[in-house]
Amino acid sequence: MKETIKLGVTLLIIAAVAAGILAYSNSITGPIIAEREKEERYGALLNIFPDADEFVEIEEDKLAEVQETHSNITEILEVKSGGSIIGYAISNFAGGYGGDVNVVTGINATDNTIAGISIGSHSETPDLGDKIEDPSFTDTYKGKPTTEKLVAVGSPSAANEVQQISGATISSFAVLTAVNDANDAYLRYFTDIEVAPIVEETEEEKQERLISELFPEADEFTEIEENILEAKSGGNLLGYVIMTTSKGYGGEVPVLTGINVDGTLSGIRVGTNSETPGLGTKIEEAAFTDTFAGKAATGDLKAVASPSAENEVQMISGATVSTEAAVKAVNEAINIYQVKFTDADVEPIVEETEEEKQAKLLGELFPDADEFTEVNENVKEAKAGGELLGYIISTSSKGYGGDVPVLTGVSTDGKLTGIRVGENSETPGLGTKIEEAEFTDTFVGKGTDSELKAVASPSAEDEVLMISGATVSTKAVVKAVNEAIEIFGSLN
Amino acid sequence: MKLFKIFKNGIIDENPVLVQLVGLCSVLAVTTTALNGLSMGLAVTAVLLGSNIVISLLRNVIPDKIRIPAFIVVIATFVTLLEMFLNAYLVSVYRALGIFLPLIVVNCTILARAESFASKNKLVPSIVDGLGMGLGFAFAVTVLGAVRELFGSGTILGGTDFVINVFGDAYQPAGVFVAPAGAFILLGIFIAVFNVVINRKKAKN
Amino acid sequence: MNLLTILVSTVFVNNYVFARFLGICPFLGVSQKTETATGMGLAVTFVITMASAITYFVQHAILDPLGIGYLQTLTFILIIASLVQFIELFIKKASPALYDAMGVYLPLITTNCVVLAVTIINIQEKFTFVESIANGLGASLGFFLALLLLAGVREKLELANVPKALQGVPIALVAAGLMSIAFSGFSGIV
Repeated sequence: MKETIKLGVTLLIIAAVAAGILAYSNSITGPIIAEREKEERYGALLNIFPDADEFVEIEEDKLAEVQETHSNITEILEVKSGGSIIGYAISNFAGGYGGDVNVVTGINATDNTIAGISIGSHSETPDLGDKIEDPSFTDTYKGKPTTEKLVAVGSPSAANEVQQISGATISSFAVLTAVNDANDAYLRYFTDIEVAPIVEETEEEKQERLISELFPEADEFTEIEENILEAKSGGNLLGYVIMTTSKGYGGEVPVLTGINVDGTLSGIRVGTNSETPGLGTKIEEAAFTDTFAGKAATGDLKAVASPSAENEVQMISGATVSTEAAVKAVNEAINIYQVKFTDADVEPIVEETEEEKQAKLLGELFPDADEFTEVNENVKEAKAGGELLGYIISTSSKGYGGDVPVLTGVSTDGKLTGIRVGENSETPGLGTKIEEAEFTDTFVGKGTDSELKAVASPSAEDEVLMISGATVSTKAVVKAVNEAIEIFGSLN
Repeated sequence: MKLFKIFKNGIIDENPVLVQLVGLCSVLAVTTTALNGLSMGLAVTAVLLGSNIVISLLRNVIPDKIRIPAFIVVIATFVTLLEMFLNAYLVSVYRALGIFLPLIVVNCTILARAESFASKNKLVPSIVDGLGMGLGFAFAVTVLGAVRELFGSGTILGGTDFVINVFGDAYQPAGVFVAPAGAFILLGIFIAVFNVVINRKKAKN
Repeated sequence: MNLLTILVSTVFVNNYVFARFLGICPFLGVSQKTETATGMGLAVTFVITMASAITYFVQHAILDPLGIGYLQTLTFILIIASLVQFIELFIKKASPALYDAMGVYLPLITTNCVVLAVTIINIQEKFTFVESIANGLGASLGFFLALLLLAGVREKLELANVPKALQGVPIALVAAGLMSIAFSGFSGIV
């Protein structure tokens, strides 16, 4: 036992000596290593704050407090020079094109301007989205005030304008969002500057707010029918708020249209939607919605680049589909108003049932027919007064976004009377051009002797129009029509 | 020249990597380039020298029953000293060796030399043995590293300012050589070749 | 990190032997027969798991708070050496049969790179306690798997016509290399 203790002690002494040697060595090499690590970590920050000599993380509690309202912030550092705080470095992230983009915003505490920004990790498209790392982009943030909400434009000049990289909208917008967010957090938690309180709205609260914005003097909104509200002030009717939706780029776009009793629009508001952030979502902004106020509620509003005429509103460049969706929803609201609340002689826009739609299409292919009889699942006969005019053959083929159903009308003498394209999921504004007359009309009168093909400028007997930029959708329709032609051939 | 025999022993007859087959973990992992191999070889030599010296000096002081733990403490101390030194002054080497730097502690060579030689011999022979074994190790890993680098990346002395693109830019490197698989296979072949060469020499004598 | 991810990763994708080159010495030394491989595999699993637990505590309760992180290598290896010694004594007393079966491999485990590597990696990857254990288990299982596979191959190699220069370790290494290529096929799972 005594020997064991002796051995144990000896070992302990050896270990102690070793530890002592290491401690000594650490005292020499430790600082050098720490210095180097700090440089690696803070290299980017030193570019933004050349005079800084120290970066200190803020207290955990404070960070947690900030994160409650700004959940995307991961780190906040106090930037010090000679012991006093000269600024802050806020690290956060925002959703970009390929994933989250990490941004560090350096803010000068002395004048509340942006000292600079630095882009961290991201997965943006090489040679396009990753241009957000270029100084030519990040430098446009230097010196900008934190007290104003920044906007991204092609050629920044105003105090609150920063660079938007052409062709990399979403990446640029991600950085913009991150910086605006960091600025907001800074003002709110690190300065005494008054900032509008962050309002946590529920969907209901948002809806209520938007409605009241359409009629600010109203003290009462009553629902008289589904999706239709009366706006009253002191018992007097001011106007109506009509809610409609329309299919946009990313999904349904809900629109609130306010119509005064004098038949003019009091304004529109766009609700929660899934349009492209920074682009399609501009339909929510005043710059767009304001162009509707005062327009006459006659239901033929159109969006153009420079609105001037009575029925013209603003087309948002680069967000055609979103804009058209909003305009369509407003026109529908106006239509409802006209039908229900005026004597105007208008046809209500009615949602057709599938059957009604089908019947309408059949009628368009054979206007003279008075009777359609089914031969089999895909073939119908069109007759007029008992006499066979031709056939309507239903086929479908896989397009870009899914199946494309096509109705092909063939007269008894083997010529196409026309085609109609049914419900599909092709790209709105591009692939969906296959539904338009400009395309379908090029099938009229074509023969059924050979297969049709799509070309840029159709001239021959077997050529139809190729929609530029929508090759896959076009080919799907052509394929379906050729199949219909084959079926026609087997009928005789 | 007994000392020379000890030295030669480390390089050839009992080459730690090619004959004794110890410390192979580091061998395989770090020999992706000649430079990495050399760095590891020199690192091991440094630790081996240090530990052999200390253990030889203390051989009459360390009680027999706790000698293994004591050796481990000494070796671990030298390894840690090396870690600190590299991290502060030669960061690129520190990073290249990565986790295999602390793993030098369990490099069987060092413990084996401590146990079988340094604890039983005087200072000078221990130094020579350390040098021999260390350089034998360094030789093996550097050559292995060079071969892997040559075929796996097409360069020699990559990582230094003297890097030579031996096969030119059009060379499509055989990545397998730089991967673990290549290491295994090449080492196997290397050992086989080494065996043949040594055996032939012995047969001649 | 998801525990399952850690397990799959350490056993297959980042197998400690085939992908990380650890545990090679015992890998070559003990893989001649499947029985010896099993014994070593079990012993290693036991030691690594316990070492993961103990070193985790030492790092977080002693080294970090006192700022003496540089003593990590030293303390960890001492813990492992002591652990092995202790386990050996324990098994010898508790179950002589078990000791006969695998006790002889225990001292070898001290110098098994896998053990020290796992404990260091646990800290480097900032695993929680449970994740450290999972990593240890995965590493041991991966090592065990590698060992068994190679042992199986080597048993067959004994009977094959191997050129004299390649016999023994060289051909085993080549075999291990081929297996390593096979295992690299797992990459991309996690």
